[in-house]
Amino acid sequence: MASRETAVDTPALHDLTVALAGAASPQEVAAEALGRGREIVGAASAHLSIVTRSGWCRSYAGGKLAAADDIHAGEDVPIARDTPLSRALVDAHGQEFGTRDRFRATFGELGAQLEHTGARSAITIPLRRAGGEAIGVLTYAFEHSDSLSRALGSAQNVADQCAVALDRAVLLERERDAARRAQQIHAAATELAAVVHVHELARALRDAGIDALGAAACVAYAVEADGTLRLVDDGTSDCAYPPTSNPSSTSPVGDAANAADALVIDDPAHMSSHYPGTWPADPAAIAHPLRIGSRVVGVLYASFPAPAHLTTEARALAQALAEHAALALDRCMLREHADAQSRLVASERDRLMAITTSLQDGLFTSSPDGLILQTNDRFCEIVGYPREVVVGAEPPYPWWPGVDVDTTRRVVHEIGRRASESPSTHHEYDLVFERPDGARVVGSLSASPLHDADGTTVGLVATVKDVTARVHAERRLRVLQAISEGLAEARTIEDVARAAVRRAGRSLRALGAAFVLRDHRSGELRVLHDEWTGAAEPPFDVTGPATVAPLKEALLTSRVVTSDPFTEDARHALLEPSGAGRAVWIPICDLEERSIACLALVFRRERPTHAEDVTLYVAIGHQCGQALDRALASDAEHRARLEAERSGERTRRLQQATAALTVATEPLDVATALTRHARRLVNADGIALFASDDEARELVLVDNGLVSASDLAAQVVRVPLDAPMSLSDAARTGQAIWVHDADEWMERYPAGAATVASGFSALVVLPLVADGRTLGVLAMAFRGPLTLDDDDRSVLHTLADLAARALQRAARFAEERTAARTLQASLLPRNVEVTDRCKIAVRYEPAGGRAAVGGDWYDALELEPGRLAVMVGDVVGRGLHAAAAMGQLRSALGALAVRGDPPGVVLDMLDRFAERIDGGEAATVAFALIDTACGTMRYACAGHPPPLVVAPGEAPRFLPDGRSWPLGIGHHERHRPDARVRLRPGTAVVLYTDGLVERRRIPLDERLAALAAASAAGPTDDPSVLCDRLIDMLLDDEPRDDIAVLSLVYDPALADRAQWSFPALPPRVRDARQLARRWLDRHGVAEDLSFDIVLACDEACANAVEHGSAGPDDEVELDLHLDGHDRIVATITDRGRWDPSTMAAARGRGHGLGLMEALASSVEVTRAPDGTRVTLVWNVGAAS
Amino acid sequence: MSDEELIDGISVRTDHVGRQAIMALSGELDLVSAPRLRNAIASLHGEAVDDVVVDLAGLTYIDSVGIGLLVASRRRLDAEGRTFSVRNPAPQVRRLLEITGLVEYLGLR
Repeated sequence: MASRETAVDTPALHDLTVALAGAASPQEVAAEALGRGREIVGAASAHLSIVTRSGWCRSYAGGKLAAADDIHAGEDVPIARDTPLSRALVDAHGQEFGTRDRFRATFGELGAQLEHTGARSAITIPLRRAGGEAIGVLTYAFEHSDSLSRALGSAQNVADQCAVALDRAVLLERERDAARRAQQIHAAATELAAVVHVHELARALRDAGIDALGAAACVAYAVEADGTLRLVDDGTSDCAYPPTSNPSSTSPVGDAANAADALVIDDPAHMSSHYPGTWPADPAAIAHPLRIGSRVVGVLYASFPAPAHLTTEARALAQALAEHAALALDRCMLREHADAQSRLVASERDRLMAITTSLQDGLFTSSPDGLILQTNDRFCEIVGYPREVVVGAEPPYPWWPGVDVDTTRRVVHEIGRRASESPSTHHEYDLVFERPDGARVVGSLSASPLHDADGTTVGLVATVKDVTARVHAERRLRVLQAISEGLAEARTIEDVARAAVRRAGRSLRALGAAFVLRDHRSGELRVLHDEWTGAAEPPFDVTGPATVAPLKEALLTSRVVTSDPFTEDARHALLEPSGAGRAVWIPICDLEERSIACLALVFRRERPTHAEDVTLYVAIGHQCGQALDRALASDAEHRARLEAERSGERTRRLQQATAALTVATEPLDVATALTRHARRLVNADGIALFASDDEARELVLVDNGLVSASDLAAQVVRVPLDAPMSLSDAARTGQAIWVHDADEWMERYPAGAATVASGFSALVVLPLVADGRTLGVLAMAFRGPLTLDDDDRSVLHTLADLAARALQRAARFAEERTAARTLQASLLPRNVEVTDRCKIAVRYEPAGGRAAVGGDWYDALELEPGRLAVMVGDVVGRGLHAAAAMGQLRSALGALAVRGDPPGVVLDMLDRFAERIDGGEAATVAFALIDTACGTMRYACAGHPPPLVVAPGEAPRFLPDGRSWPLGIGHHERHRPDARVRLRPGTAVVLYTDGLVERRRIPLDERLAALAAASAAGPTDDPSVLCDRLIDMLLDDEPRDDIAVLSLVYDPALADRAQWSFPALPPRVRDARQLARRWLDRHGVAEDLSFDIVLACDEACANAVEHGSAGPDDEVELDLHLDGHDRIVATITDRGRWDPSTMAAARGRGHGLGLMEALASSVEVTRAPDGTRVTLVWNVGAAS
Repeated sequence: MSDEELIDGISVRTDHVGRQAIMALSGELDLVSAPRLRNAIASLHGEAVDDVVVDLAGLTYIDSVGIGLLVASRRRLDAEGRTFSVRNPAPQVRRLLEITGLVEYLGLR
């Protein structure tokens, strides 16, 4: 049967043989097997599976099984179990027959497909090599069951021929493939050899991987210096692989970098389980270390669509590619490194250039001998010379006048030496340069040496800051301070002259100075005092006929006159004989703006007078004027006594009394002036001043301590206005009362019997009336009869007028003082606050005596939860004016702080503000922002003494950084710096004004040391105690300025507590309410509950203010805390005792207690002799 | 008559509708600000006003002084033969009026 069939098909079989002989690929073999072969066998469908590589097969279908009537080839897939192929591979002789019934069992998936095409029977024949190894399975299917037996023989024949052809074709294909890939590797190697940039490398590797290795993707990672693997990217597209792979994180490339050999991943499950989420889930991959010798320079990573691609050959090729890639990568990395270096050099050069040209500071480099090598525009600007002059300039520099070659070189060497010897220390030198126009600038120079490769110093690089504005401002303050200190102690006009000459002359470094007084009657000029450095004789005669003209001009015009406009001749005549180059004449005016004196200052060096100089001179003149006024008054008094004794001239005495009254600023001054002058004017034996009280109900003795027991007013201190007495009579009627003798006295005013009995017999009472208001009375008593003539009486009336006006002025002064104090008190509530991990206490100690209120201030603001701002500032000057300036600065700073900028920036902004407000000039401030969550403080000080920090267990220290110049002096050339400091729990910070540390005649350092010592002299955990101790220990009897101190203790344990002490004033109750709200907010208390708590606390505080306090000096304390049992506890403490009956009656507050009871879980009122305490408790555990 | 400036933490705006005066409060009514409302109500004395209505819509806070003032105002206007009522309290203010048992007395339904 087989032979018959064979015979029938012989020609066709022959054709097949010929066709198969020409088949050079498995595909061509398949085409024949499924085409001619199928026809020979007479099958409806055919299927060929061939083993492509170990474990993998590729299938072809033909006939009805193919979609079209063509062969259909599949992908390489793993060889499935229980297929004809798998069985053929296992069973050397396996020859399976299938019938319809056994299709599923025999052919599996293929069987189902065949059945679908209508096949009834099928045969599978393994295709074997000569050695018996199966390389494929051929299946033919038939539409009739009986066709099978007829086709058996021919099928075997076809299969045999196909097997031979397939074996050859597969081998051929492999060889071809290998050759092609080898060629591609070669091409890749050639390409890689030419690659110099990493981008090119990435592209070459990608192409070679895909073409030569048959990879889906191919990338390389380079090993960086720190061991990190960096993706070598092609610079164009996104890549699926991470840009870097940390050596410690797991990735195939990371593992490969540490492995000896290539890492082959041929199990998709392995990839996802070993590198979950960190690496693309490639089904298969090779990660090959790239080595140059033993050095790993990178990793080559190729991913494949399926593990089947990871053939031995592919691995070998990968290795070959890796070898070439390693060389190329190493080269590229070197190149990249070199590029980076050169880019760095270039950018560094650019950066230096940018710095050099745009720097606010001047910059230059010089040779060791001072030859200027390079400079920037700013330096040229500072010294005022063009670049051509500056570069190449050698000592002596034109901008450094009066410093010769040797000195300059010495300085340059010295700067270089210091910079080399202590490179860590920052040396700054203030040098005075002169521009070509004569303007002087102060440059602050700091330098570093330049070394060559051997470490030899080859020059200097120096930066120069223009600090002229700062220096001028400082100098101005220093000079004015020096002068005002000197003048403050001047008693006589001679003292004033001496102080002015000495202080102004020295602080301005004048060659000499002279103080010339003009007699207001004769116009005669008299040199009261003059000093000339190193000269026995005045080299410059300010009142000499040849040199007096500018002095007269200054006196005449009340303007500062300088020698600037002098002609050459005038200069020659006036200045040169004395060796002077420049002179100024400062007029000194009295209260009425009349020039009464002149301070002449003579300088050695000729230079133009600048606007800031003139401002300073005017200020000096002003200070001298005030001092002179004071001195004239007391001096006049002194002389008046002598003169009055000598001449008995009444008018003269009156003038002296007038002078004394004019400067009186308090009722006491008025009383003293009258006691001293008026008494002698009319030879009274007793004199007393009585002032009306505010409500004009009684007269009160102004007791200046000069009224002795035997004197007039010994028994009379207060007199009701309606009393039948001479004093009240005069005050009531506004008429002077003249009692001529004891009889008249006793008759008119029997109440004066005691005075009469003590020896007085005549009396004059003068009402003191100003602007229609009786301010008091002046009483004078005489031991003999009244012998006053009309002139005497008229003088007394004049005196009374003057005294009235003086009293009026004193009252106004007092009002202003009170207003200023009130304003200040309202701006500066005394309080102690605990908020958000910080405990804060503040103290304000006004200067003692009569001085008006000062401009010290402080503030603490919670900007937002976790951020606290604290500040202490000082405004120059005193009085209402200063208090107002203080208030404006304080609120401006508060508003600026809220923006959240760093302190330096905040102060820069405040600076602009300070310039615009009256009195803002030279104000100082210390400002700190505290991050209460992490315990850091950022701070800046504008001309203010440094904050003091006391950390537990450490010595107190002053914060040295974040320093800048005072506010409002017009210095904007630099930004203000700030600095940061860490606050450990328990650390105390103290901000204070200079009143605490500045004392005349004691060096500041000494006082600062005393402050540090005081801070360390006891516990620092309570800011209130700390403030008290600092003030106690540092306050002495010396005259001083106001003092403001703010202490803050950082204590994270206080997070759950808020505490506030405040003066018993209704507006402060509102503040307490805000505090409570903020605290409740911070603790996330629900709105309704928060409302209840705020209201109840408010009621308690209001009660405390209304009933528990004698006045605003008493304090009320509000304390809020979480007690650890889910309870919010509020305690309100005051110093009084609530009286329930008055409470109910008072202003509708009867609801207060009832409300508290309705709002809180519990209310407890504890009344003790020293105060009342209300404890309010809310159980919040159940609610939350 | 209008007076809207925020002084002492409260503003009082008075509008006249016929013989009715409606005073709209906004801000906080407390120890500090109560005198202002007291003066505003007192200034209605002698004017042709029969009803005084205090609109509490803008009131964010009221304490016992504020409540006392409302009660006193009602009493005084009663005596003058006029009516006094409040309206539109915020929930928290209303709650307080409830606690103090004044809802009805102050004409709130």
